[in-house]
Amino acid sequence: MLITRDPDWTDADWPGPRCLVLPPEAPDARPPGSDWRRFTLVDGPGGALSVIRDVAARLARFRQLAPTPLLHAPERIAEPELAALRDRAGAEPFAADLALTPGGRAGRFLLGAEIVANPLFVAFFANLRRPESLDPEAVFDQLRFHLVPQEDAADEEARP
Amino acid sequence: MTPDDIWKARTAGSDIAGMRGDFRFDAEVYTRLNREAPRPPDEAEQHWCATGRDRRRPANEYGRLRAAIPDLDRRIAGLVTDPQIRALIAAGEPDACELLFELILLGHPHDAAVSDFSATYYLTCHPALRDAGVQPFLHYIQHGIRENRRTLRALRQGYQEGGREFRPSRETCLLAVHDLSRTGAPLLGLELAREAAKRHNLVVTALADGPLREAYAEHAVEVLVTDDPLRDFPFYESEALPELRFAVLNSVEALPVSQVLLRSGIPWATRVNEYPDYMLPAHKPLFTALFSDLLVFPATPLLDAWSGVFAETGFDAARDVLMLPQRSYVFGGVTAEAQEAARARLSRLIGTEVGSRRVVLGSGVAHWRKGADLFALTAQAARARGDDTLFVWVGDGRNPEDFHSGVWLERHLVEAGADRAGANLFFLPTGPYYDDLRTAADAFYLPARLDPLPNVVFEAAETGCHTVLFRGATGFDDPRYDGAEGLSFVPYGDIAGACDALLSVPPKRATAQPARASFPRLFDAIAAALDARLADQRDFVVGGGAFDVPVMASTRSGDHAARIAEREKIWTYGRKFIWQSADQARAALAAAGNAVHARCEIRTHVPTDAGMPEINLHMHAHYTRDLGGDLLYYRALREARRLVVTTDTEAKKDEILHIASEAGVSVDCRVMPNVGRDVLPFLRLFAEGIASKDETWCHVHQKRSPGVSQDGLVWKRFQMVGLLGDDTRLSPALGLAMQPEVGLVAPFDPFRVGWSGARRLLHRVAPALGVELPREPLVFPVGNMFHVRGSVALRMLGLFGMDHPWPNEPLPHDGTVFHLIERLWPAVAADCGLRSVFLDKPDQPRS
Repeated sequence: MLITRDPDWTDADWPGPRCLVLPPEAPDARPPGSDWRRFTLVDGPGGALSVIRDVAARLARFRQLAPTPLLHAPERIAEPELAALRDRAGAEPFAADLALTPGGRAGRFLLGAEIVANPLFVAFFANLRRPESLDPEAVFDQLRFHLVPQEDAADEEARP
Repeated sequence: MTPDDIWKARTAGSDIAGMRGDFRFDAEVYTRLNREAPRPPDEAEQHWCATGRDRRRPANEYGRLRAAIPDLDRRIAGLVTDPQIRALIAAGEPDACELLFELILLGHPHDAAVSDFSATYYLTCHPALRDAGVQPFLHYIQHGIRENRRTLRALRQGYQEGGREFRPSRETCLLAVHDLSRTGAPLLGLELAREAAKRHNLVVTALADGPLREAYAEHAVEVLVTDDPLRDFPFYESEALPELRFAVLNSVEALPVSQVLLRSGIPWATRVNEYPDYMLPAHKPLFTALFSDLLVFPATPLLDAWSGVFAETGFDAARDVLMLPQRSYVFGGVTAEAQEAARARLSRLIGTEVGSRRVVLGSGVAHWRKGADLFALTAQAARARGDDTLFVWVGDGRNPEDFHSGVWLERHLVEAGADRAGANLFFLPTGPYYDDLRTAADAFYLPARLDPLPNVVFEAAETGCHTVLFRGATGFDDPRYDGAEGLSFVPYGDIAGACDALLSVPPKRATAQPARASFPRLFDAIAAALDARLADQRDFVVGGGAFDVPVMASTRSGDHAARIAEREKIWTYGRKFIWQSADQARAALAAAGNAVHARCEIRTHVPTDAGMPEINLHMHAHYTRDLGGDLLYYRALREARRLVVTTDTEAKKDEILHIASEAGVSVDCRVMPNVGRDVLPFLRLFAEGIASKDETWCHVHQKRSPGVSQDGLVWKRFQMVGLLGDDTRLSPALGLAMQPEVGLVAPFDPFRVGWSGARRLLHRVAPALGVELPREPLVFPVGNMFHVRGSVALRMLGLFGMDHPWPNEPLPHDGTVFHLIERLWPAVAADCGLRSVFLDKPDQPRS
């Protein structure tokens, strides 16, 4: 699953549903008949954690939440870098990588397919109250604690 | 176990255990009732042990009440569910009832664990008690029990474990039926249940009990009978409910269940077996179309009948409908032996020898809708032709004490000579002989005025009965039944044609074996279509938008999330009922591309410091309750150039003049006929020369709309503030209304209301307008309060003329000419070359 806010990124190559998150009446460059999902946020832009909460809950409700890696990338990622992320996700089904914005907010992040497939995945985000007020690194620590088997988490920590 | 053992076991691990080692003593109660007792709990208990107990001082609530309620123990014992406590009570243990009382008094979760009482549920059922802050169990045991107030017992009586075991490996689904009676829709639902149980954990819920409960339970994991699912579902101790994955509503009447599903994010399909014409109140079909993920129709005539509902709600029938015939139509026959036996039984039932006479069967509730009266008329027509065909109607509902139908049908049957020796017309109640009747009959006659796809037609066909029915009255108009053997259509209401058709039906043919139609696998088809529909969704809307207004939910703060869920679902499916924002409405107006909407605009309401313009005010005061307060509060009413108040009696006029005098406001009060709600009195001002073309008028009224808020006060204030301002500041609407290019000013309403029932009247006015009426009004003065240019009001009056046959009270809630006028104002303003301005004030609560 890919979640982005870049309406011009129509050729993203990522496994699972591709989701475009936009404000109301925003231009949308997707070609007609596109398989992209469009999420219109009528109450404002929302941060990365609330967006993933909202998108995941709705995909689950509509039987579209696939056990594929999740990449949240607000803007287009060039293909070589995207390919590296695909490889990383393929090799590490419990990957949980977070990149902060310069302001310290959650920015780009990657979750492995096994995390998305966890039955508690949707509930974990649904239970985040006012996610934008939370420390994203602490949220990710909690996510790793609850959704990643501890031996995999230890491996991740040992990874250079 | 002793009472003390049970108390310790039940309170172990809780704060109670540390505070109250003995259920016979409650320090708080003891010190409250015994002034001489020391306050510290330990000392109070010592005091009780030392003196209080021997003096029989009440030391807990049980002790306090026992003296006042002689049958307290009997009341308490009636609540017990815990087997150990029940055994103690049965054995005459003197402290057993006190133990039970004090355990229940502890509240959640102790109360429901030992009894049929739950404080939480009691307060949920009786919110006024919650608001009053009463202790629920003390209220119940003293008063509620005598008032027969609902308790957990009623909820538990509606719960039944089914015959199927819950299997975690299976998907869990809910089947909702409106009742469990042995009638059409519940019987069809039972077929669904039978099929669903093969592959799912099935939970059945019904809004009312009935004789089919056991039959449903056989296929279900659980059966839940409740008239209020939203209230009761959270209290069921259910293994299956938390696992619900989807639901099927067996009919539109099961709509109340959808509130539970919507809040839980559970998708559902609704089977539509009814015409919207008689689904009353009208919100039932509207909300069904707004919130169902999928609608399942058995025939295209029903689908077509819902087109108005779809237009109102933006429901995409091409995308969100599954067409699924409810059963196959097979024309068969009966054996000669069976027919002979059946005719013999019919002869006994009606006291008339049937012999070889043709038999026409009719069936259903003896009512106007089913056409029981037309059945009788047809029998009379046949007799007048000298024909000896027997007409036999089977069905309940014949009631000579029913003013609306039964009185008149009874008179008709008497005059038609029904049910007498030698008659050709007989009415029988529903009974175990129904199969014999259709076996004996040659023809089946369905004179229903509106009846979707009655099973009796399928069943009659299986036994070789030819059916005669009206065009335009049933789902059998579906092309699937074109040319079907044994179906003869006559024009709607054509009694003579029906009589001709029935009297030409040949005698029933004898066959070796009767035919039996098969039931298609409806449930699997519905489940698969629902899955596919969900998986196809590509556009999602997240958030509640600018206007926190409800559809099915309440306006209570606790329903905030439910209201958002409602709007999200409407918008995600591209349906319409509430605007997301004023900007969305602006975009819709801009995209509409018609002359009316090109002259409509939405502006933001900004209070003004400008003075009161030269505007005239008209208020219709059929109700006078709020008039004095309004005159005192709203500055614009006090400063209006002229305030004309209309009402409908001289007595009210005197009252209004007195109120105005008390408020110090000068009022010109006129008495007008009580016709045309508030708007016709306003238009009469122009017809009678009280108002003129060159003036600008504000029209308001004293009616509240109780459907949108408590007593309608919030709604009325929304209108008044939007048009007039408040006690100190004036609304910008007043100044806008005076601008030369403006013909109409009204508050912008968050609800996106369509033509609704007025749609069927459009053809009467459309030719007289110089502008084309839009497909959807988009914006209009919802509630009929506005500022309007005199020329626009005169143009509106001219569309109809004062000689128009205005309908009198009482009026229906929708679809009258007055509802049409409400929606026409922007079009009439545009017709006058003027603009309509709607003011958005999102901080003003609307409901």
